[in-house]
Amino acid sequence: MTALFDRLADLLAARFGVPLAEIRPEARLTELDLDSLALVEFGLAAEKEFGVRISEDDVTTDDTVDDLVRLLTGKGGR
Amino acid sequence: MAPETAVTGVGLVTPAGTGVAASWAGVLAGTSTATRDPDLAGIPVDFTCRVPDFDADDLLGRRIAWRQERMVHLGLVAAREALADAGLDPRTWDGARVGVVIGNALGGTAIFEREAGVLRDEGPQGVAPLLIPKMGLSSLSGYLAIDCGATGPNITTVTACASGATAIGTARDLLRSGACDVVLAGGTESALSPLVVAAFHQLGALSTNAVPERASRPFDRDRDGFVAAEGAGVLVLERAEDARARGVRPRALISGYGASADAHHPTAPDPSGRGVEQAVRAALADADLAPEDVDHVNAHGTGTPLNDVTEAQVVRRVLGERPSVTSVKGALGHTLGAAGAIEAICTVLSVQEGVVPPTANLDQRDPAVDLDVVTGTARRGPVRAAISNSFGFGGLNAVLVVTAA
Repeated sequence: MTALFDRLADLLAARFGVPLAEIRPEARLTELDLDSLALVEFGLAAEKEFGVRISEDDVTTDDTVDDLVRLLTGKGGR
Repeated sequence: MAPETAVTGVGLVTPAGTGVAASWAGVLAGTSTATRDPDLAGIPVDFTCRVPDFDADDLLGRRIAWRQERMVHLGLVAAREALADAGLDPRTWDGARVGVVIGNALGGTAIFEREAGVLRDEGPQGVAPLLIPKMGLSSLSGYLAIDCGATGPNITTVTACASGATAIGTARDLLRSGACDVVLAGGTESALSPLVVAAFHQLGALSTNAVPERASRPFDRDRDGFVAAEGAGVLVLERAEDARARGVRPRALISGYGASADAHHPTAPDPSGRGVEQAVRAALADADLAPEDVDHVNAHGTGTPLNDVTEAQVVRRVLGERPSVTSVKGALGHTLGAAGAIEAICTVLSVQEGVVPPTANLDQRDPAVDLDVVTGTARRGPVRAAISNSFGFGGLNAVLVVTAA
């Protein structure tokens, strides 16, 4: 697991109440109870936490945690 | 004859505590809940009545709590308590027959104020995308439907500080008309943000007493305004015949509802009390009761100089000197859009248990209040029929009649 994965997991746990144990790379966002509103909220949080802008088209609730990590990394997330 | 409306469940979250037991015990003790409010530093009136030790993450889980503001958290906890009290299981009911009617006056003001600051300091790209769904006055009635699968009529009533009572009257009508078999009815409010408190103060509505716990003093000679508070109250209402058919004994009946408008002034009550009297008489007629049948009045009793005298004169004129009178706002402060629901529940408990709570901080009754106002300690004795008064800015009046089941 990367440092970015750990920070992402911490953010999902703190902001959306996702149990840390459930945040595995292959877990789908919808399985973590992250719906479209959560992703809108996540977009704003990611900008503040990782310094990248995520648009509505970048991510869906069918994506996995690993997809999110790769998205953040690919956009140069810090 | 119209079917009787039964109260089969109640839930409270108030400055006296979370849950009916803690809230009612605090109200019966008649002790003030007003304290300094750290969020109001720098505001001339820096005390409120807040719900103590209410941790939404703990009570509802972070997965639900992050989605909504405190006004929804308070109401959700109260509603779940009411449903459990009524012995109803949302997993087994026909949700299409279940309605929700919730009163609220001001919406999620805290997030609105915070995000106004974000817009100013960071620009529009920083504004919370969920501001609108979180600040809406209808956010509790909507989320409550999600929480318990109630897909029947869903209404938010807004009649300022009478909103919670209007919700119960509206719910009663949904049961009478046959539109619903069960209605979750109540009110919620958590609007103690700096802008709101500062504005109430600028209006001259708030007590400026130097000692917070002595500030809310309904009917007292030295009252000088209300203390702003937060809280929620939710009732489960059903037709009495339906409740009895499923083997449930109602706590009490909502037997009458009367509503009116002063058509007088945007904030001040009509000193003649005509609008209030009209609502009281309409509620009694609706309940098919005579004035002498009323044993008890749970007053609006805000502790503002004008309200208490006007209300007292109407009660005296219509009901005479016999009924016991109390205002729970001495203990709880003024929960605004939730007050009518919280006080209706207190009235239900008074009828059910035969006990009237004292009016906190009433040391010397205003001579213009010529009524039997209960002070000091709770008073025991049968309460067969009671009215609960609620009045809002704009001269909006709602009166409920509660009778023994």
